[in-house]
This record gives sequence, C-alpha cells and structure tokens, in this order.
Amino acid sequence: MSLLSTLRKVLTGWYVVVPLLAGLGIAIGVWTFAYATPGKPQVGVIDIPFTVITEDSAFVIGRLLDYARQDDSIQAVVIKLTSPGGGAAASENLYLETRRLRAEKPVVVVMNGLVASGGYMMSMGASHLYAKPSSLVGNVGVVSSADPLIPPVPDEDVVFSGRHKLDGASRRDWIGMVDELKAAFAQTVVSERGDRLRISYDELIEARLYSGLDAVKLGLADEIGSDSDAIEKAADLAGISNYGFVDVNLELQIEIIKELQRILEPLDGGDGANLVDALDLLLPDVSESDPVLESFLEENGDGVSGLQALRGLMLERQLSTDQADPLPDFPLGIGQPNIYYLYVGHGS
Amino acid sequence: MARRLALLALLPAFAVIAFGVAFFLFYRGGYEPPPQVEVPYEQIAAPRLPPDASVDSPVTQVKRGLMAVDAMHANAFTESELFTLTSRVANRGYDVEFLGGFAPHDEDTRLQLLEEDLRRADSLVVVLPQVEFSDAEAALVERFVNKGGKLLLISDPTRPQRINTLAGRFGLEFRPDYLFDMTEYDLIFQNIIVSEFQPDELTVGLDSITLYTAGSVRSSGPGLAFAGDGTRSSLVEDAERLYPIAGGDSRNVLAIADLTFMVPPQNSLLDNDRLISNIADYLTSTEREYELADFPHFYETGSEAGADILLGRESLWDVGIDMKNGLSTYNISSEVRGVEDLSRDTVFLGLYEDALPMSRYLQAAGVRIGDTLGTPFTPDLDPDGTFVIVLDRNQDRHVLVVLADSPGTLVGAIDRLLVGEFRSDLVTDYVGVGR
Repeated sequence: MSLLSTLRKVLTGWYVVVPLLAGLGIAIGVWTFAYATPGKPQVGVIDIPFTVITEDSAFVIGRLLDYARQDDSIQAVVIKLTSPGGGAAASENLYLETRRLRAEKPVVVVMNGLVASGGYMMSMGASHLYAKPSSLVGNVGVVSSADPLIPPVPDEDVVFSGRHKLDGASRRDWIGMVDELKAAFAQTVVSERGDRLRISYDELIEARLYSGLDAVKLGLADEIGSDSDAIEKAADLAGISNYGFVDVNLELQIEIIKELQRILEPLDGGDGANLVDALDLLLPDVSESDPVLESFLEENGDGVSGLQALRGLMLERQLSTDQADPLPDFPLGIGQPNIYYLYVGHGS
Repeated sequence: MARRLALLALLPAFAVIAFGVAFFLFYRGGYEPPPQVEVPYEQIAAPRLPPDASVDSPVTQVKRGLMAVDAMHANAFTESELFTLTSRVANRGYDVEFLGGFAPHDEDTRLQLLEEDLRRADSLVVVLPQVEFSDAEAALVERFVNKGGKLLLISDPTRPQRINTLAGRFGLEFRPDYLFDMTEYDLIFQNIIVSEFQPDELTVGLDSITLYTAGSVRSSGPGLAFAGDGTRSSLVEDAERLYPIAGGDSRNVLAIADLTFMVPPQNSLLDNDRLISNIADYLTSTEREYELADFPHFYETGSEAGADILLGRESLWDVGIDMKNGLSTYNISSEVRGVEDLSRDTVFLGLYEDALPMSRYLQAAGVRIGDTLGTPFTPDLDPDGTFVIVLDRNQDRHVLVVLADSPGTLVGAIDRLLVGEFRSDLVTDYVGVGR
C-alpha cells in the first residue's frame, strides 16, 4: 500500500506530470500544426521550357497553375518561363490565370532565355519578375493576318445572311482590332508594372525586345537573378522560411497518371495497370508505334510536352473528330482565328 | 484541486506554444496580395478615320488618249486594285490598256509589245513589276518620257517588286522601307497621315492624305508629299525628311510608294480621292511629241478627229483610198480632200513632181528633190525607184508627206507605212527614205 502510495505520489508529482503534459501538449500542438494547417510550407516550382502558347500548351500550363493554387502546402510559386508567346486568347488566359494565382499566393517568374509577347503577357500576372542578363524580354504587340485588299466574292452556291457572315469583319475593321489589342496589351503592361515602368507607352508599343539588363533598367523586369533568387523572393513574399519544394510539373503528372489508373483499374481487373496497358485499354486502336503515343512515352519525363502529347492523344482519339475536316459537306474552307501575341524573330 | 486544474492547463498551454513555435518556425508572416490591377479596357479604341463617299473631282477636260498599264512584268497587283484610278482616267477620255495581259512573256516579246504600245500611248503606269525592266525596255520608256509621255511608277513595300532598275533612269529610288508613325495614324501605325505638300498640280486641293504602309522614295527631283515629323522609316532610327510621293528628274515622271491608298475604301479617306483625281488629271494631260516611227498614232482616233488626205494628182485616187482604208484599221477616220486645211492633220500622197505644195515641209526637214534626192543624213540619191516620207509636227498639227518617183513605188511606200516596215527606212526621227 505504501509502495502504491509512494508510486502514486511520484507519478503525480510535478516533476513527472509537468513534463508529461508538456510532451503531450507539444505533440498536440505539432499534430495540429501538421494536420489542421498546411503544415510545412512549400514553394511550388513550375518549369515551362521553350513553349509556344497554343490552346493545348495553355491547357497544360493552366493545369499547372491550378495545381499550385489548389495545393494548400504551396505557399509561393516560382515559374521558370521561356516562351515566344503564341495565340492571343491562350496568352490572355494564362495572364488571367497567373493573376488569379497571385491573388492567393506570391508568384515569381524567372524569365529564362526568351520571354516575349504572349509569354511576357503571362508574366504580367506575376508578383515579381527576374531576368537573366541575356534574357530577351518584351515584344509587346500583336501579329495577325488580314484578308486581301479586295476580298474574293464567294461562289453563287454559297448563301450567307450578312455582309460579314463569312469574314467576320472588313479588312479595316480587322486592322483596327489588331491595334486595339495592341493597346490593350500595352495598357496591361502599363497597369501591371505601374510605377516600376520606366519606358513610355509610345516606346513600349514599338514592340522591341530588350536584353534582361535593359529590361530591368526600363522596369519591364524587377531584378537580375537566378532561379534560387526567385525561390527566395517567393518565400520572402509569402513570409515563409524553412520551406520545402514541390515540383509542380511532376506532381501534376503523377496526379494525372493516378487518375488514369483509378479510372482504368476496374477495367484491368484491379491489378494496377501500367500506363501503356491503361492506354491500350482506353484506346484499343492505338498501337505502340502510334507516333503520338510514342511521343508521349518518350517525352514523359518532360511534364509539359508529355502532357501535351497525352492531351492531344486523348482529344484526337476520344472525341473521334477529325478537326482537319470537321464538316466535310461544308462548301467553304474553315479558317482558324489568327491573332497572335508572338515573337516570330527571323522566321518572319 | 485548483493545483490539479492549473497543472491540466499546462497541456493546452504547451500545445499552443508548440503550435506557435512550429508556426513561427515556418511562417514569418502572411502573404499580402497586391491590390487587383484594373486594366482600363473600356478606354481602348483604335484611331479610325471616317470614310467619305468616293467622289471624282469635276472633269475639266475630256481628251482622247491612251494610258498603258504594264502587265507583263509579273506585276504584283490586280486590275480591280487599280480600278479607282483607271476609271477616272477613262472619265477623262482616255482608253486604258493592260499591256501584256498579266501573262508571262520573254524579253524579246516584252520589248516588242512595249515598243508598239509606247508608240501610241500617252501615259504609262508601271505598278510593282517583279521582273526587272531590261536595259532595252528601260531605254524605250526613257525615250517615251523624253517625248512627253507621262510615267507613273507605283511601288508598295508590302509586296515584292523590282522597279528600281526602271526608276533609276529617272533619278528615283524606291527604298526598301516602310513608313510609320506611332502617334498619329489611321487604324494602325503603318497607316500614316501626310499633311505637307509641295505646291504642284498633283497636290492641288490636298490638306491631308493617308497612305497605307507606304515606303519612301529618294529622288533627284522634287518631293511632292512630305511625311510629318512623327513619321519614321523602318530603315533608320533617326528622323529624316521622307517623301512617299516624289517627282523624277523629268516633270513627266511621278513615283508613289504606296498602292493601297487608292484601293476602296482607303480611297475615300481624307483627301485621297482628290489625290487620285489629280493623278488622273496628270496622266491625261500629256503633250506627247510623236516621231515618224510612231505612225499612225500621232493622228487622233475616233469619228470626228483623224486626218485629211491630199493627193498630188487625181490619178492617185486609188492610192488615197488605200491610205484611208489603212488608217481606218487603226480607228483613224480620214477623208480625201482637194485643199489643205491648215487646222487639221494631213497626209499628202504624191509623186516627186507634185511636191511643190509641200515644199515648206520638205525644206523644214532638209529634204531636196531634184535630179537627186537629198536628205540631211544621206548622200544624194538617184531618185529612180525611191520614196521619201516626211513628218512635220509644227503648228499643232501633224503633216505626213509621202512622195515617190512613180505610182507603183508610192503604193509600195504606203504598204510599208501601214504594216510598220518603214521604220527600217528612217534616216532621222522625221524623215524616211526607201527604195
């Protein structure tokens, strides 16, 4: 009895209870931090190697931005970007998506190599811009094609309801539209860069490409810096330290593969189909020599192009629609929208 | 009991401390998103000139003539693009002919077609040739201009062209640039507005015009339209005096480094219509000088114009009728008359013995007819079996004198005239001698 009493006294003594409660409290505190909050903060890194912005590539980049936005552990985002721009609407979408991400988390863009036109427009959605001294930055403007001076009159077997039903606009309207889009692009840069901009609107719309050094001097970029500088800056803006990294490209790739496997598992008897088997099941008409599939498999290590290839494969096969000639009975050729924020360089 | 409760309070206290330590270990502060930037999209609009109705200036003078448009050097334009100009030239009484019909031709054929056409043309328009004019072709055009023919050269930096070999003959060079103005323009920066002009018949009534991706012209002649201070050339960074429209070193040559301004609807903006009318006036106000080689094109075509045919003797009536019929194939009306009308163009047909009434024309040309036949550039000839052709173009009329030693030789001479073979008989620009 006296032993029990002694033991009880010892166990309820402050020198036992206090450390015990302290340990338990610390455990609860750490557990709460780990599970009830985002836990250890991460800097999400999105790598966009040389990419012309198209509907497809913008879809993939949009998914990457979306992933970074939705993952609560990612407190700051760094985008390593190289792009000559591309389609106007696709570029605008990436600007708006980046801007949306910036409203929740700091976004720092590292302009590697060429960040021109639509690529530069996308970076306008970021919080901070780094350039390398030799980066090529700017080229704010629009490229389009227009009808001939005197458009051809359609054949008599084509009936249409309004003057511009076929062409959508006169040549003059179209040219005016191009100028408006240029002004909107330039105004976006002026508004986003604000006081940081040290180049006039008139100079900006000349659509020059500047070296990273000049871009910083002119306020088109904020600083010269490396990828590491960008990560530090992003963390600083987010107010985090001791952070980890998330390779957003890889995470998204894994997520998509998991999603595919989840969808395909029942079809495969639940034995964990690999991707080739899964695609084989999903798309029985695809052979392993299919160029798109090959491209996907070869490029699988490279997030954006691999995903692009996969998306192309899915679209092409799943929609079962030949977009090259979607309406075989239609009496006229179908043109694509043709406004671009694109640096064409010496390819012009 | 209170002590136990106090001890229990340590649990949440340590939890909070642990949470706080963990939190502050990783989070030094929160992210303050920047205020959302509002781009003022609603304020954005392209500068746009209002179009006007397309109107030609009042036509003050209708005169027959021919404007040839080069269409045999792979020219980078279509007939419809030139319609505003060609229709106004037609309104002023000129025929318009597209020379070569936009078909490819070898150099010899081009030269032949050009030579034939320039004999009868009053003005020549050359738009965006993609095949260079050869030296021989350019020389023909130069001779045409020297004889009073008007030449309009049009280039456009947005289209391929090889016009400078021809332009260079007249002190002109179309530069491989385009003009732009970043602040004052129509629709887009390459559509410049030009408001400064050299006083000239071509710039009468112009306050401002707009040119669509115009280039600049370097000229040893006068600049006619000057780009404004805000206009730059794509070739150079610095400001310089730029002329999108200029005259050549001859008053008869005009160079315009833009085609598009005359294509609807651009023609109806600002004073573009007036400029096109001025150009039409310019092209139809030619005072061409003709040479004998240009026969019969120095006679006006049409039912009221034409020439009188005078005969040296009545027995040459049939020869006169041959000439009348021959001229009619060129749409030149003529009548055989008994007396010379000094206000009308004339063809005189006769034998050497009939030359007296025409002696003043023969003397002016330096032609002597007697025992021998003499001209300024030939040794005296035995008149037997010869004919002589003289063109006199003084006093605002053209008098053609055809004389021969016999009716048979005269008929042969007229045949050679009408089929063009006489050109090998020319001894000067105005005298031909054949046998």
